Amino acid sequence: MSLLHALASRVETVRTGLPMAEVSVARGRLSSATALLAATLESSAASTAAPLLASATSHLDAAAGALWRAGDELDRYLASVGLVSDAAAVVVSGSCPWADRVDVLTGQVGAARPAVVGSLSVDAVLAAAVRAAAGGSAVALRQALVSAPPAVGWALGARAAGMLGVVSPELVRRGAADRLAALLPGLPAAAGSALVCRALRLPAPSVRAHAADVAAVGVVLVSVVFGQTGRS
Amino acid sequence: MASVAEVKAAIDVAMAHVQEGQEAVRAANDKLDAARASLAAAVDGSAHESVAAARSALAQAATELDDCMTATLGAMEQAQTYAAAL
Repeated sequence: MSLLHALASRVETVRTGLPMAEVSVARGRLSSATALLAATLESSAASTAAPLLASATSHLDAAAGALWRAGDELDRYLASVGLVSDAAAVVVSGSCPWADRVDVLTGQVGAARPAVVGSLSVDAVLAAAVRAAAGGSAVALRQALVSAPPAVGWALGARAAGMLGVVSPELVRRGAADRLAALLPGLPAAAGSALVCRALRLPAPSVRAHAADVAAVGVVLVSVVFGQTGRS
Repeated sequence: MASVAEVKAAIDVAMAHVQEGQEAVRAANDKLDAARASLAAAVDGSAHESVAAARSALAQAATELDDCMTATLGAMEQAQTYAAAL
């Protein structure tokens, strides 16, 4: 093995040793604890415990995003010195809860996935995803969403919700029906319909949804609102 | 209507989840420390911008994990104090 290949091997070992799985496990445990505490301590003197845990979860999302950035930079380093990493720019399902769920929603599980771009902001991802949704392309929508660092992806739902103050929510709901089915074929119709109604503050049945479902539906709704109001 | 015992039991379950989360964060911290040390040894002397960016991102991840742990400790203290006073 040449010295350069030995260097590549060491850097690749660092990359594969990044604690993505541990952070994901921690996030799952803290999320369930947050939900349980919030339900138990609502309106009590200890009601700040749940928000503190939610804040801890946000730090984990930020940590996950930073780990992804580090992995991308290590890939970039290996590529720039002529040693393409085995795990290089394209990854597949099974490595990131955010992107894994987007793959399911857009019906593209197993398709080659573009690398995460660590510098992307919530607004930049939302703009790209809304453009893709307006164009009616599930492939482009998936590309825009999985390029986002997980922490940015998780924040998309709240950002999209802030853009849905619409004069005629019923009109938006009707406009979203076909687009939702075309762009998010992996989202069950009943859940999609309930999430649309909830986002538009229309009467809706209760629905348990993955945070990525809320984000993806929010993106589609913003694209419908923009189409109806002529905004871009 | 819930009893005190039921509220305490729910808090205990939530705290058990938090402790499992903390264990995972500690494991993540250990692996991250090892990754940072290995990277430092592998690319010692490199001034490549991607190496600097990777180091910076790993440092940020470590800070976020520390902040996460601090927040969980605060939440546990509040919840346990409340449960003890019920």
